[in-house]
Amino acid sequence: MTDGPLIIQSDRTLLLEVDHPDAPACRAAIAPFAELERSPEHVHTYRLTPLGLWNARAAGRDAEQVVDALLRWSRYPVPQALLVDVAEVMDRYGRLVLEVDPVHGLVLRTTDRAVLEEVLRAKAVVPLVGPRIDAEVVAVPREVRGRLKQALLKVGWPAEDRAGHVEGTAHAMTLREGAGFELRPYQREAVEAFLAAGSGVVVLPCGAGKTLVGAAAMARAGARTLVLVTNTVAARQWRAELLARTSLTEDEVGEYSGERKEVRPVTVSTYQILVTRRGGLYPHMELFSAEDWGLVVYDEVHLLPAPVFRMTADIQSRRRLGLTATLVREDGREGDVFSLIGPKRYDAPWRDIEAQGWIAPAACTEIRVTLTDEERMSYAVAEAEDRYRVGACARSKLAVVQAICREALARREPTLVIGQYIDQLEVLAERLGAPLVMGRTPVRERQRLYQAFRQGQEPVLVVSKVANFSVDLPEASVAVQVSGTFGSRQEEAQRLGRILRPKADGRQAHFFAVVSRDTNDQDFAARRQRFLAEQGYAYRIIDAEAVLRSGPASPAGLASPPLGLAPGVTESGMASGQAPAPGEGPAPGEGPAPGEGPAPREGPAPRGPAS
Amino acid sequence: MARANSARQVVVDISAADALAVALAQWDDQQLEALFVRRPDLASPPPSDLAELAARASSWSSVRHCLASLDLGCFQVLETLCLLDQPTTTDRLAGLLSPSAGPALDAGELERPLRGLEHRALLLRRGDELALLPVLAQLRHPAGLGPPARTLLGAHPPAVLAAMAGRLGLGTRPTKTANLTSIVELLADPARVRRLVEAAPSGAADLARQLGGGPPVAFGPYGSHMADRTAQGWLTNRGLLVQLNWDTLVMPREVGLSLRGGCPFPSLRLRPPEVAASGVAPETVERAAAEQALRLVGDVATVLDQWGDVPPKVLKAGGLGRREVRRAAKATGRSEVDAARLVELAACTGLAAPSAGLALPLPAFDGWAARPAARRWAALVQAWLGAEVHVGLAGAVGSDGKPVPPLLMGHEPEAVARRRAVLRALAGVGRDHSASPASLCQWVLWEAPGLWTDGPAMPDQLVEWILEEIELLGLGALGSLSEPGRLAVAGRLEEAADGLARWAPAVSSEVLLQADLTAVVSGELAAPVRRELALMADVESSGGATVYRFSDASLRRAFDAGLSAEDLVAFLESHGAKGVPQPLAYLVADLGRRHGHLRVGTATCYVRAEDPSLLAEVLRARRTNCLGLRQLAPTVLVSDADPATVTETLQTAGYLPAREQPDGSLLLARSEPLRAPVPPSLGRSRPPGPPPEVPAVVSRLRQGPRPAPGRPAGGRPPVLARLRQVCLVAEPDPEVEPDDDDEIGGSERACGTYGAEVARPTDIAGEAVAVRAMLDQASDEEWLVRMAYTSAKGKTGQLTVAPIEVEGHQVVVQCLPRGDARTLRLDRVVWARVLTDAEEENVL
Repeated sequence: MTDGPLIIQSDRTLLLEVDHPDAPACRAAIAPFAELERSPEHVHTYRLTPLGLWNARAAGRDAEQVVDALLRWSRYPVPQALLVDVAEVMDRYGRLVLEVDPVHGLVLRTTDRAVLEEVLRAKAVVPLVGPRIDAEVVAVPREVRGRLKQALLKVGWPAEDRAGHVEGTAHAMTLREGAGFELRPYQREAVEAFLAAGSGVVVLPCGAGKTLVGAAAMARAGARTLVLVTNTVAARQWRAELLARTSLTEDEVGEYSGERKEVRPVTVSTYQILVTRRGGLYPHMELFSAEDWGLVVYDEVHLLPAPVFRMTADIQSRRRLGLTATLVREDGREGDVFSLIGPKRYDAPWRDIEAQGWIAPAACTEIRVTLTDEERMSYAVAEAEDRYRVGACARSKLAVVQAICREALARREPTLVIGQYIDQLEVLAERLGAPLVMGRTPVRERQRLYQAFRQGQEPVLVVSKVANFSVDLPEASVAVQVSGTFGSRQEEAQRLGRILRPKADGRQAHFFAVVSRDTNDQDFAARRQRFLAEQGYAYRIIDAEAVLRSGPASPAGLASPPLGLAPGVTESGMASGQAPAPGEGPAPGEGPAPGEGPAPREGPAPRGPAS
Repeated sequence: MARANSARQVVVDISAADALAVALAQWDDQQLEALFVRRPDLASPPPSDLAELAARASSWSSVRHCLASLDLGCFQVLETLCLLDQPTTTDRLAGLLSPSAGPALDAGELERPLRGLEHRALLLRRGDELALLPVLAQLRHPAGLGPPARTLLGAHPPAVLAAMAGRLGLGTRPTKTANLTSIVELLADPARVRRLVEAAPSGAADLARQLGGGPPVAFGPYGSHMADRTAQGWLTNRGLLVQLNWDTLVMPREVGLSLRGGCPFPSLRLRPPEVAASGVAPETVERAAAEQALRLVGDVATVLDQWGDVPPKVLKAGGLGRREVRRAAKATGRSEVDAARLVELAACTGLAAPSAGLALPLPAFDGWAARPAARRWAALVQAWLGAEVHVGLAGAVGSDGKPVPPLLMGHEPEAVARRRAVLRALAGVGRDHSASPASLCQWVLWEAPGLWTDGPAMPDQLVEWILEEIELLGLGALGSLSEPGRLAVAGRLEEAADGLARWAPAVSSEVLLQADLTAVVSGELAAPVRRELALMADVESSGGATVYRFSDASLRRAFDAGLSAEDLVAFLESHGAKGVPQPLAYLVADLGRRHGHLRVGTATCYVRAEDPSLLAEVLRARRTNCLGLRQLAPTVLVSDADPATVTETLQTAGYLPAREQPDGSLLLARSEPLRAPVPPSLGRSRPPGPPPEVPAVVSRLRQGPRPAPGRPAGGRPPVLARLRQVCLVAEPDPEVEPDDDDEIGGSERACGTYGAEVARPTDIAGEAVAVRAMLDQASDEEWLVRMAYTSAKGKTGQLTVAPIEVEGHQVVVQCLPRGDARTLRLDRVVWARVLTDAEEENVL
């Protein structure tokens, strides 16, 4: 037994003890090939998957480095079978290479004839390859480059794509660095890693400045660029960001959306418009071939709709940059991202970026509301399909949300209230006297409200699901979730991302989930808890009574620990009934020290069950 | 064997023993000691003098035992010596051993095997002269060659030999001896035999070559006359094969030798084969072996812990079923084969055994599990070294193509020696070398070929199994023994365990609890803590560390086991190395709050009333004491007595209870008047159409039997209802069923006798309830019944009876026409039907 920080499990998970002195070095060694699965406070879980190993191989690492890293850092003997398997899996990548032959055009070449024989017998591959040129080379029609890569990945022999990229029509642009912003080091590294490969995915958490990575990549590529984002609001924000951060002018950046159909040297479009069908066809897919694009940027690549994959398979000769906070796709098509957009080129664990101070650490609090007898009865007799709505929309939640908003208001924290059910949100908006943004709200009105929210004119905003994707609300530091669509992992990441934007003064962001006790709302909350805790966020559960007891009584109670809005106030402070002195709010830059767990982890013990 | 018993043989043996005793007398102590080491059976019991030692050493049973330990080189030399006339010389031996074409064998090369034989007291040497113990003549088919041709052919009549000589083109000589000599001469000449075989029909040539390679015997049934057209016949008629009896053919020694080019062993292996080895880092071997060893220890515990909770059933034929092996494989993440071996190993170690149809951990398991991992491993290794069973057999593909189940409790005493042989071979490989399994196998099979015959599989398969067992146990890895492995093989188990302990995780009782509701245990958790933790959390992944997950279900298990929320939190706080995360504490408290809110119990019936005071009175009444009433709520009492008793008791106590049906409505005691089932013929024969005429309706109404007097009304309706159902579904036997005309006649008769007599049922009762009702009715109405009845011997026959009385499961009947009374069992009645009036008259 050695004293390494890493423990290798028989199910191919790697456990990293984060408090170990060697943990940072070990993390740096294993991060390139193992996928971070969970990062709770003490032990992080990484997983060895073929895709992860191939990603590492694509980034130029070999099996020996991987095996060395495992042997070096492992505390206990490493199963020999696992080491052998790692080497075998990694060896599979690169046996097949897609490249351009001066005579035959695009070809699939192998260094191992047996492998070529094997894949050429695979049912999925047969229809995609052209005539056999010799024992080691087979011709590939240009148009199936993407589909062939997909098929080869499925049969376990991923091909390395060395066929290169077309430059596209040049279009010079520069990044306006120095004018109020600098590329952060990790952003610079991400851009370099991407450009070296020509296509691939950069994984950065929400709020870590992915847009800027995109803009920098565009400036370096210096070619006409198509940017694909999730929806119109996000498209406009991208456009605004590009205009602000680069030398591009209004005329050079076009929007191709439901409302406008501009094709300019830099065109920002949405997945929505691309997948709009008319008569069984996708009329807007033409956009891909409308220009000689030198670069295609896919924002939120984990949300890329299936039809866009199909289109992407046909444009494999263009540079492709995927940006995302997570490679995890709810539909499990991570392999398609690997084959069609490209292997992962860069990623940084969320918590690491936080520790560098770029993102405000968020504290997550689940508040359990005890329903009134009447509400419990109506939940009990509700039809199965209505149960979640009845439970989640309990009116008992209103008072809690009000208490949180009141406290946030007193502390001048911009607050978002997020929910799924419009009628619940309408009541909330009315009670809180706050505007409501939902799907029906016109884009213009939406943008006006966001603007007002940003400038502090509207301290509280009630938003429906529309807020889930790509809405940039830089100053939101408190989010209250009152109901949500069944706690999908993605949605949680998005919602947390909302409030993770860097704060000018380093304040801590807060995420509250208001949950009805003893309903299935609570079950969904349990899944959210698991996800957030796995992402390394402090999570605690408190009872609504605690909030309400301390909340409405006096303005002094606003900063009381049950909500934990004020870092540094401990339980003893509350227990003795001491109110924090006025103005004791956190000074700029006074957040928790980097790397230290956010304050609420030391919060009070639960009191609900006892009462 | 038979020959060994003949007097002559015994005499020879005795003289041989004397010669051996003389030779042994010249041995020094060291040589004698070495003899006892090589032939341990001679030392126990200790022989009293050299004569006894010599006698025992030259007995066939001891010699046979010794042969199994000879290496291939010694054995080949011994077999060759058997082919030579005794005494012989080294030169003659070397001459026979060296192929005619190849280079002559160096006599020095023979020295090692010869000395080996001499030291085992199998061979006497005097200078250049060599003499085998005569008892070795019993060695069957030495070198795979048959008896000499002269012996075999000498038994043939002269005419047969003359014909044979003619067929061989030798020309017929006048005397039998001359013919025999010329035939034997030809058979001993390799060139001529080869030419002969080349000229043979292809089938005959193939057979000759096959038997020439040995063993020299072919079994068949063969007739007394062998024709040239069969391969066997062709060869037999030319002396290449000799028929011993009706089903055995043997190839004479000379023929076999000639076919091998005059040399008994085309591939002579006097020296051990080289073990092919490649370089390997000792550190890698140590690590990989330690990993295997520690994993095995953990996996055995996992499987047996699982068995302690849900013991698997043992197959009727013995052994553990495939499904259970799969379960073990799933629990340990191993292959089915490995899981089967693991189970077998646990059984060898005495940790588990089949008991009363179940495979259960033995009490020794608890003691074993409490020891540190390295000691547990040593226990497994020790048991394995001494196990008289091939662990590798479990999970291997058996003769039926299915995996052999573990826990068969077989017995294979040679397994211990075989295992030792493989370990010896591995130990001979350098520490920084990795041996190839194939070359190891060759070496092992050379070293003691006799050890590997008669095993449960082919020799190379057995070696392969043992090598796999060694890897499974973590005694070695990558074709090399690890340091603890070497120590264990040398019998130094304590030191071996200490060596492994270097790799074993420390035992701790600390757990890292995390906010995502997992607990991570790095290394090994102390057994009591592990058991407790396993109660409240599920294992999510195992290996160097164990990851547990807390969930509602797992915590509920702990609550069900009687732990309270406070107990759980206290446990977590005392073992949580870095405290208990708030969400986990909250989850425990929240579940503790909800656990047991719904209560489930058993009661046979309830008593309820709107008036709580009435129930309070009932509860306290003395006469209801016997009911054991309990109050669940102000308006509900429950009792374990049955509803009828409760009702009756309450009535006796002066209350006016009413019975409730499951839907809450009152159960009425008044019964409906009884009605017979509708005869199926009516429903079938009447075409739908005009409304029935009134008389017919009336007649139908009157068809049912009148209620019999004196019968309890309460029991009737359900029986009739069931009877009705049965009659509608019962398929009458077509042969016995009266045809339609009869039925109509029957119903007409029923109409005619309206009011005077109950109509006879025309259906055939098959089900017990229906039969019983029919016999009951028939006894009341004094009808005769025809039935099929199965006797106690299982024979079914038909009876005509007059039922007298139905009593319990029996019916007393008078059998007709003889009139004797019998008691029949109702459940043996296959079917029964009431005779028609006309039939009854016939019988009577």
